[in-house]
Amino acid sequence: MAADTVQTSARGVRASRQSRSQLVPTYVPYLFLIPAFALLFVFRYIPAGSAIYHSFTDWDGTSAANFVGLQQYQLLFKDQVFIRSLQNIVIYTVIRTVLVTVMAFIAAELIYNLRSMTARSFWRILFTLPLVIPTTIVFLVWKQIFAGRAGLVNEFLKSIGMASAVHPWLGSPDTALGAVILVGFPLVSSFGFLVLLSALQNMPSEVNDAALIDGCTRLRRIFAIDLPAVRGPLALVVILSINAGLQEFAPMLIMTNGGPVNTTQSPGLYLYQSAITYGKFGYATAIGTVLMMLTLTFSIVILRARYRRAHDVAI
Amino acid sequence: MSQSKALIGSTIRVRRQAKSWQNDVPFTVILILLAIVTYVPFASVIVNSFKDNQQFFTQFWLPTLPLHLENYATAWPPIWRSIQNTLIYAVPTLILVLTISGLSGYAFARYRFRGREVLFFLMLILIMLPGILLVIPMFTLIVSIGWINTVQSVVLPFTAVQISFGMFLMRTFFETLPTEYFEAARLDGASELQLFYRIALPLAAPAFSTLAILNLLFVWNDIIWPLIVLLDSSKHPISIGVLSFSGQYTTDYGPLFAGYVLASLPLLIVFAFTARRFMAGLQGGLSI
Repeated sequence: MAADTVQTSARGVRASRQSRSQLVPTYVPYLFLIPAFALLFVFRYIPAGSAIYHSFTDWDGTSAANFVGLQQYQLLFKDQVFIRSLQNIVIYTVIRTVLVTVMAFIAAELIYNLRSMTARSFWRILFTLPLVIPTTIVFLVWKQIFAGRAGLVNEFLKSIGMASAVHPWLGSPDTALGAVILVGFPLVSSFGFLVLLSALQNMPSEVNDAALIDGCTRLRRIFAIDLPAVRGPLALVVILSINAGLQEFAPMLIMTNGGPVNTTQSPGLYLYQSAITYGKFGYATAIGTVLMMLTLTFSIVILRARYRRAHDVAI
Repeated sequence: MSQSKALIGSTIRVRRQAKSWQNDVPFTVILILLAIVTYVPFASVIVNSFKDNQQFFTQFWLPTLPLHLENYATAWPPIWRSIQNTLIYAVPTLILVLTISGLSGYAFARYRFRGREVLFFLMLILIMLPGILLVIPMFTLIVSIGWINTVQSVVLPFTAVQISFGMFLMRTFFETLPTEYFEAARLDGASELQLFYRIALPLAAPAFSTLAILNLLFVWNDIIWPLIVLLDSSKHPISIGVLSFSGQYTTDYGPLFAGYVLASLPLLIVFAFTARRFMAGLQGGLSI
C-alpha cells in the first residue's frame, strides 16, 4: 500500500523532490485537507449547486419546487427594482473600490515615507483601530451622522455658517446613495491599508535608497517602483473590495432599507427581501446567481489584468 | 567614479539623517488631518453618550455637565447579554477555523500532491462566491436537520465561510518557513503530524493571531446568517443585538450611544493586547 502510493506521488515530480516524497506517504496531504473539504462540501459546494439549480424553479421554501426553466430570469430582467439595484450596486462598488484603494495606498505611502520607526508603528496602529469596531455600530453611527436632526454633518454645516446646506442626506433620493458610499469617510482604515502597508515595508530598502541617490523624485519613485512592486497585493485588495461591494447589503439594510424609492436598493438586500419577506425562494436564488456571475466576471477581469505578462505568474 | 558616487551617497544619507524629523513633518501633518476626520465620529459618540437629550440638542460638540453615567447602566444589561451570546458562537468558531485553516494551509504550502492545483483553485474560488447566494439553501438545510436556534447552526457555517481565506493566509505564512527545518526533523524520525504541531504550529503563532482577530471580527460583524437561523431573539449575537437595541432607544441618544461604546469595547480590548502579533502576522504579506 505505502510503496504503491509513493510511486504515484513521485510521478512527474522533479528529482530534487523525489528523496523527500519517498519519506512521505502520498495520502498525508489529503488527510490534512479532509476536515476543510468536508465542511466546505456540506456548507458551501452543495448549497451553491442547490442555489443555482433552484434558480430554474418556482421554489417557495415549503412546497416542492417545479422546474420552470428561465422564467425567473425573464421576470428578473423585467423587474425595475432589480435593474435599479444593479445600477446602484455597480456605482457603489466602482466608486467605493476606487476611493478605498486610493486612500489606503495614499495613507500607506505617507506612513512608509516616515523616517521614524516609532512614528510608523504608531500611525499604523491608529488607522487599524477603527477596523475592530463592529460594522453594525459603524453603520448605525453613520446613519446618525447623516441624520437630518442632530446629525454630525448638519451640525458641522451649521457651525461653519452654512445652515442653508442642511439636508436629510439619507432621506432624500438625490443624496442617499452618495451618503451610503461615503460611510467611513475618509476611508483610510481598511484591510487594504494594512495589506498595502505591509507590502511596501516588505520591499528591500536598497531599491528605494538607490533610486533616491540616482536623483529619482519621491513622486516618480512611487509610480515607477512602489506601485509595480505592490501589484499583487493591490490586485488582492481590489478583488476583495469588488466582491464585497457587489454583495453589499448590510449598510443598506441598516441605514436606509433600500429607500428612499429604491435609490439605495442593492441586489443582496433585494435577494434577502424576496426570500425572507415574500417567500420567493426561486426568484431570490436567481438574483443570487446573477450576482455570482457578476462577481466572477469582475474577478476574472482583474486577475487577467494582473497576469497579463507571463513572467508575473507567481501564485 | 564609483567611489565618488558612493561618497555622494553617504553624504546624502548623513544629510537625510540629520534632517529626519523635518522630512517627516509634511507627511505627519496630512496623517494628523486624516486621523482627525477618521476619529471625529467616534469621539462624538463617546462625548454624547454622557448626555441626556436636552444636553445633546443644545450642545452637540462639547462635553457637558453633569455627566449622565446612568446611560451606561441602562445600556449594560441588553448589550452584555448579546456579548455573552457572541462569545458562545465565537469561541468554537475560532477553535475550528484556526485548526482547519492551519491543517489545510500547511498541506498546500508544504506538500506536492496530485490534484493540488485543482483543490487550491476550488478553495480560492469560494472567496469570490457571494455568501448571500448560499444563505437560502443553507437555511432550508438547517431547518431540515432541525438545527434552528442552535449553536452549531451558527458555528459550522461560520467556520465554512472563514476557512477558505484562513487557508490562504496560513499557506502564505507556512511557505515562508525554511524547508530545512522540516527535512531535518523528518530525518530524525518525526512523523508528519509531529512536523505539523511541533515545528510549524509554534512558528506560526503570529499568523494564527492575525487569523484569530480577522475571525473574531467576522463573527462580531456578520448579521445576515444569525438573523436568519436564530429566530429566538434572546440568542442574538451583538451584531443583531445592537440593531434591536437601537430600535428600542431610537430617540434616547444618551443610552443609545453608551450602548455603542459598550458593544465596541470587547474587541478593542482584545486588539489592544494582540496588536503587535496581529501586525506581525501580516508581515509576510498577502498577494495573488
